[in-house]
Amino acid sequence: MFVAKIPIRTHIITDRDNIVEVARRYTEGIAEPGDVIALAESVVAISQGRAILPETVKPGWLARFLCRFPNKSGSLATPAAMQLALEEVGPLRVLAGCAAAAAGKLLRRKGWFYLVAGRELALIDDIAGTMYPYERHIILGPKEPQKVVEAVKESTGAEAVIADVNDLGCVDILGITCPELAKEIEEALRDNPFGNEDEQTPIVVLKRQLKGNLTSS
Amino acid sequence: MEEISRITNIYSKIQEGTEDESWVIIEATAPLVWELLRPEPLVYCLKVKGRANMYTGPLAVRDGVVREVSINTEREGLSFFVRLEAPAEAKVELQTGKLPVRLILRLNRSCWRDFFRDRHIVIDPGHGGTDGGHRGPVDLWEKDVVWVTAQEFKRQLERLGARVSLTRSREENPSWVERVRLGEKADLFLSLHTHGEADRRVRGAAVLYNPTFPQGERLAQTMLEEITAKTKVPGRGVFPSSELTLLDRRPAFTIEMVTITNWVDEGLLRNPYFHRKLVLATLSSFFRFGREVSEVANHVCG
Ligand SMILES: [Zn+2]
Repeated sequence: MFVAKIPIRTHIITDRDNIVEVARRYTEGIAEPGDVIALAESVVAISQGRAILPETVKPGWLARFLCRFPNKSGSLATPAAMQLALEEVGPLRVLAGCAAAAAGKLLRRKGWFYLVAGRELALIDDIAGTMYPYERHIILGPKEPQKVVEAVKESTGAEAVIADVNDLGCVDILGITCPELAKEIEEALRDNPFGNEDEQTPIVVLKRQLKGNLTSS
Repeated sequence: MEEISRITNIYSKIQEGTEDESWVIIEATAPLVWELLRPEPLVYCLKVKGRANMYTGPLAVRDGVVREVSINTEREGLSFFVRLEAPAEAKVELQTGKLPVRLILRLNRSCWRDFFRDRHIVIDPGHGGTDGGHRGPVDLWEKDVVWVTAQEFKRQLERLGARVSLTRSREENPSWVERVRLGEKADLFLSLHTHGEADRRVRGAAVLYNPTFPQGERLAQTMLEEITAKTKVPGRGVFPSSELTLLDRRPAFTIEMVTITNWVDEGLLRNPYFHRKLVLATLSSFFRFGREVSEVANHVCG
């Protein structure tokens, strides 16, 4: 069980930031061995240069055609986002995903598109109007999340996790150094301590015990 | 490890209750020693001992009472300068029951209530029924998004003690003359629309004003300024509207909150916070303008 979760306000992360260094600097003096440093999926992706302005994407005819099919309010509903999906996993997997989605529709099953086309596509945040100054960007999922969490652990001595949390309380863990704690971490992140909108706390320290200066009164 | 409190976060919120308050909340890893000063009538300074583990750039609040918080790093700790829109009484509360520890600067919002109470405001959600208005490139219709915003206006204004009338129900589409008639006796008529363009690259918000209302253009500029600052939507400008002249010399405005035919602007409309912010920004602009043109608000808030 975690005894405290401490969200940390950061500057606006850009592709000039090294996410491992950012995590180390902001958690210094707070995260100790055994604690877990949780990083929001989107800022890891942004630091990797994976926030893309839609006007810089040239959607081909296939993207313009396919973007009409996905669930409208979700991802991949714009030609630019669909084009990026095609570039991420290749047209064959996207088309296979579409076929699966069509079959799923007949059987009233949801989520078959991402099952076949690739889970990484579910992490593409289409222009969603969130998180200034990235509200105009399409944000792809982070690259190699497992390597990132291992580097964070190496640099801080604490455990690390990269997670995607939405406002509905769904927690998706993309990389983790302590898989045995996955369930507890999901529970701790369910209320989205990364914040939304005006809050800029993409780093959250999950404390396992209170010691040192972390004494509760 | 040294016994020094790490300051980890600062944010703000409007705490709704029997008396609404603006809260500025500072989080830390251990109980904080603090001191509250008021160097100017519109500035509070909260001095806190500890070390920042967080980003210390300014926090834009713009909730109508608090404008901004800027942070100074000093030898012993941090100074939080809370800049106000209007004079408001403050108290400080320290919550140490669990981690993170919270130091809360609680500011009274009664000046807002005093400003809006008993005012009659007509909200006109554009289009409706078989008239969908403009359509977004993905799937949103203007008539539906302005309905959402209208509900949020109603909610926030009624909390402040204002009387709100809507010109239509969800699926009605009354004529312009019928809509305007409701505004004839109101303190304010506010029509809600989105802009639309064949060119999908065009973005942004605009405010249209009644040119027969003496301060229309200035107030429209204040509205657009608050809306663009709070929602981060670019501004397209303020324009006179011949339709609004039906409300002769009365305060009447049309807010085109975004350009729905643009991908990004349509995406913004899906976010419930967007509607909340738009309403807060609009109400802030009336409040700010009211204070600028008269001393009345000063007396009630002081
Ligand atoms: Zn319209």
